[in-house]
Amino acid sequence: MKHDDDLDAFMRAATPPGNVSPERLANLVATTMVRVPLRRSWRDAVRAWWPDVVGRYAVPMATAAMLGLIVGHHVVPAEDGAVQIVALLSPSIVLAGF
Amino acid sequence: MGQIIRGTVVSAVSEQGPGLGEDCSGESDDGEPNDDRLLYDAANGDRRAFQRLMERRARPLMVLATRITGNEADADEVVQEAFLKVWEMAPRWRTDGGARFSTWVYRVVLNASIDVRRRRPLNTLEEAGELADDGADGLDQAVARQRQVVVRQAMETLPQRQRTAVMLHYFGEISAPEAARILGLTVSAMEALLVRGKRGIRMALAQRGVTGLGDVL
Repeated sequence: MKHDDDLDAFMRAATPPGNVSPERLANLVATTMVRVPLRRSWRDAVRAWWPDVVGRYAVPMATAAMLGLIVGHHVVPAEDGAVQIVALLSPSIVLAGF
Repeated sequence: MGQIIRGTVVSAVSEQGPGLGEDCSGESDDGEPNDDRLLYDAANGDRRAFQRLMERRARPLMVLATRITGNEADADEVVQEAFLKVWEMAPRWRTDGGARFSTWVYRVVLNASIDVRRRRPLNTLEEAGELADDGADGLDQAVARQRQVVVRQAMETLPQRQRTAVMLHYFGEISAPEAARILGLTVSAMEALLVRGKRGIRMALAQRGVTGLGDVL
């Protein structure tokens, strides 16, 4: 096999045929499509995620907020709360007056 | 430099769909969306566009993978995985990045096929009865399989880069410039690799007593 033509002829004869049946192609496409995951934009993801979050956490959070309002209202009188805020925000004991 | 490798086969493939070397940058005359358009749609979750892209591009990839792996099941798995990668990377694909989709996917399939081939023992080709032409009689099939084994053994003796170039040249059904692009080489570098590869194949065949087409029976 001294020339490229001889080698090419041999290699052509040794190359497996290049025919792909329509059935094989269709099968490959169908199998791949089954494996292709759904793609969702971030808006779709939030839209799908939001009802789940609301459903899971809405009642506990609303209950906690309600309890906070009720209990907080009774524990801290409005006038004492204002005094406390001044004391807490003052940089020194002298300015706070006590 | 527009040399066509194994031009007769290229024309056969072209009848079944666009070839690797065809320009897919613009929309075709018949209003068919091009590869980039289909990729864009696939990136936005359009599965139908992705399916069309696969139907258009998978066939030559299956041929290449089958010839390299020597096994249809492995080849189909390789092509499937390549297209799943396409689906994953579609949102990040840049049409202005200079890379052509067909070149990229061809390279993925080529490397994956070579990887599969490396992992499988040499005698698998002898077991791959489905590779022989259905129309040929038993003796022809046996001779064809024997030739495939001899060629495969000869290719295994080549350095990796030469082997890849030779495989692409003989199994790929694509033009020389396109083959060079797939391997990331200039055309002249590709041709130099091919010259050395062919010399190596010739020597390996001669060591096995094959000096002509009729020597493998």
